[in-house]
Amino acid sequence: MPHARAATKKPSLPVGKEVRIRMGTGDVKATVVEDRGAIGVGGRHLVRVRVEIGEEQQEFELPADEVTATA
Amino acid sequence: MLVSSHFQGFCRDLHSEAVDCLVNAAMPPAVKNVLRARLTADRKLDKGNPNPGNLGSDFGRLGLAFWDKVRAADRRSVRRQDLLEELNEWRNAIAHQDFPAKLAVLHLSRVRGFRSACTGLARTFDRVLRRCIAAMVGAPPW
Repeated sequence: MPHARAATKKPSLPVGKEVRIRMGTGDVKATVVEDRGAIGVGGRHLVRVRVEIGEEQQEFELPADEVTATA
Repeated sequence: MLVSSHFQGFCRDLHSEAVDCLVNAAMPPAVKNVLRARLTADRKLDKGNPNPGNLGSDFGRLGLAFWDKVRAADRRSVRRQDLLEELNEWRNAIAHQDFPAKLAVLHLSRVRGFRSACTGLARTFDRVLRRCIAAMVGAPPW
């Protein structure tokens, strides 16, 4: 604490970027709302995203390498 | 304000890292993000103060009786938890410029006590999370 980190390349996912993420059996659209830094397993980068599922908005964190940037 | 803010940042990062370790170890890919959403959506530490109630609520999502474990890991945690509660009362009083009667005067020595309590709690939280996650996933996460 703070835990040792391997250097990781910062992903090109700026706040506001539209992305797609895997949720269950399908993909959903999401927006990056925060870059959480290299605090994941083995120093991997985490981002916080906002998704709309039905009429509900949710924000949660996931590894940046599991996020696909859209155009 | 700064002590509370730094402590909140530490606790939030520790929670994020713990969730990533748990989900990464246990879940089939299709379920991972569903579980991540349940563990990190509407987290109290994202918007609220790092008071004992909010910490217990957020870390309790990971399947542990958080404060019981923290107190069992270090008997000084009882006193530190009280100091954390008081730190958050002062933090709110200062932020909102609304000082209840029981908060009289804040001396530097008291602030140093708050900082020391946060440092001690941070070390204990780290140790407790490491132990609990290791027990759940079968290997130490850090």
